[in-house]
Amino acid sequence: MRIAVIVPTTAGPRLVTGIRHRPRLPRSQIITDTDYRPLDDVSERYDDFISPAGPVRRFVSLPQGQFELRLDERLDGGRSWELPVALAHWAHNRGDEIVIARPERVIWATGSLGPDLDIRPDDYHVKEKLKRSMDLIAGFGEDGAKITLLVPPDDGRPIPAPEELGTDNLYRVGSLAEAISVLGNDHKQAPGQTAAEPRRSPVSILVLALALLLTVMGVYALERFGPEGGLVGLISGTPPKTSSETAVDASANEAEPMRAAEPGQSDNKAAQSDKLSAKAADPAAAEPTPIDLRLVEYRAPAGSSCIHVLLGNVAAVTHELSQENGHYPASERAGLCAIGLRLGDQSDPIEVTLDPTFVSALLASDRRPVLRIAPGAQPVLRLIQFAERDLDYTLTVGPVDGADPLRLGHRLAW
Amino acid sequence: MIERDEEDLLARFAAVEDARALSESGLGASKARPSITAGQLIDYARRTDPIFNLAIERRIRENRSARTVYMNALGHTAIAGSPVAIAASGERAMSRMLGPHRMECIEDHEGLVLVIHLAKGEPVPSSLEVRSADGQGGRIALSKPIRGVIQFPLDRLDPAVAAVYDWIVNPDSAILLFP
Repeated sequence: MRIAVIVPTTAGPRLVTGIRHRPRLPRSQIITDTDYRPLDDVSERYDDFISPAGPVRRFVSLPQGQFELRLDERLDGGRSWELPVALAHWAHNRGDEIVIARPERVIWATGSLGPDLDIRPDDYHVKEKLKRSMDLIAGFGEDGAKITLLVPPDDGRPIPAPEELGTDNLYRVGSLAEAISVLGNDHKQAPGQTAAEPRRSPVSILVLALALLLTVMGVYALERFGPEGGLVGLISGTPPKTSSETAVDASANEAEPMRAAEPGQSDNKAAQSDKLSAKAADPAAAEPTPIDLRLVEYRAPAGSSCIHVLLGNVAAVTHELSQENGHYPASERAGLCAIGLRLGDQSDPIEVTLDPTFVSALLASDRRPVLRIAPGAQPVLRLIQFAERDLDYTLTVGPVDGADPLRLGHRLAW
Repeated sequence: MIERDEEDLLARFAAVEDARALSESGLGASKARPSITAGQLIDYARRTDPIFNLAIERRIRENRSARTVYMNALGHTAIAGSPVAIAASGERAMSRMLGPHRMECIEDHEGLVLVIHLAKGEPVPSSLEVRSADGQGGRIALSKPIRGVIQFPLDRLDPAVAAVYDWIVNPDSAILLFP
């Protein structure tokens, strides 16, 4: 997808003109199209921001090595560029093309990020930045681009109304994860919604709806499968909603009835509380969509080795595995450099607990007992290269919303 | 302070310039080039803004005496430098020491990048000058360091970089850093 990323400033909007992976450089840098020298101060902050020790790189699962981010004009300091730049990396890492003309989608975002990638409270001059960006946004809108405006949580400061902005695709997000969740869902805007409406958190509504749904599912499962059946595999995958989705287009969300675990199925529609209630009342539609967790093999290309892949000198050859009946196809250990984890058509973030025997087979810097995977993210776990032994391990997904965790097995065989 | 050897050099340079000006005066004022004094060359070497003076640059390239005066003045002004690089004949010098700092040119799929790893505790340079043995080259402003590293792409299409691009990896070029 062709995506334009706007970095708003009080001096006017800036466009990300490109992201280049340059692993051989000693530092990451931000440069503009008008000066060969990297931007002072901002480049050093960006180098820290995107460094291997920084939270963004792991969250977005960027490859090793440095990056060069290009802007059309310089920034004047501050840190509100951090959220849009992180989203630009997320999009670029997914394979989207960063463009400045004829985009299919436009991302406008502002906010600086804390260590946990939450948006830090600050006066971001959102109203002023939006007003200065309106001509640019309007131009993209006239070309048919889908505009998404991401602003920090409500701090009581007014922002322009949708009719002034020319779009009501404005969402308040409190973290990078929320922003990615908004962008990762195919949102449909509620008719008549305005940006001035308070953005209520949907969590309470969603929790109640899911509780009701699971109760009905439990009853249905007991009736159909008996006491030995259960909810294993029937994991609800309702996406987290921003308060912009308290009401949706009804026709778009007369979605497929929820079915029992079928690999590859996903619940990516914006199911709302009234719809959840309606489905919960219909036992035939109460089966949730299972988690679709894919494994991605990273292998050294012919004639090369994992050392070169891990150093970033050559690109890995990737191959995706899907699980069936709780097991992934076995992977040949020879030439396998790393394992990536990617959600399929999943719209909720999930937690995956790694088997300790698997963790011990990873490079020290990648050893984590639990991974939190957001939609669109793909953590990559690098393998120790010289441990020549077969390895059987388990990935435990969840628990999600009270359901039993899902255990997925995989074998690395010599 | 100018050393005694340089005084002799400047005196001979001035004499050569005077002789040249006298010989050209008979050709008509329109064809006579403005003379470049040693003082102008020294001031040019000491400039803090990497401006490009076409007349002085031409003189440096055309006149060995002017080039010698200029290079001597550069040597007095620079905070670090390397007169030549160690490289096999015909090879590019992709790495060299500039005093305590290590300079390298990294080439990847995007092009050439100049990288200077600054030694700790040393003054941070703000500009770099490259000069070949016949006076080709120029001076460019450096970016501020990112955690001890100065790096920027060498874009041949950038006018500021174009003057140095062809000479930066030439092992016979002198490279100097300025405050």
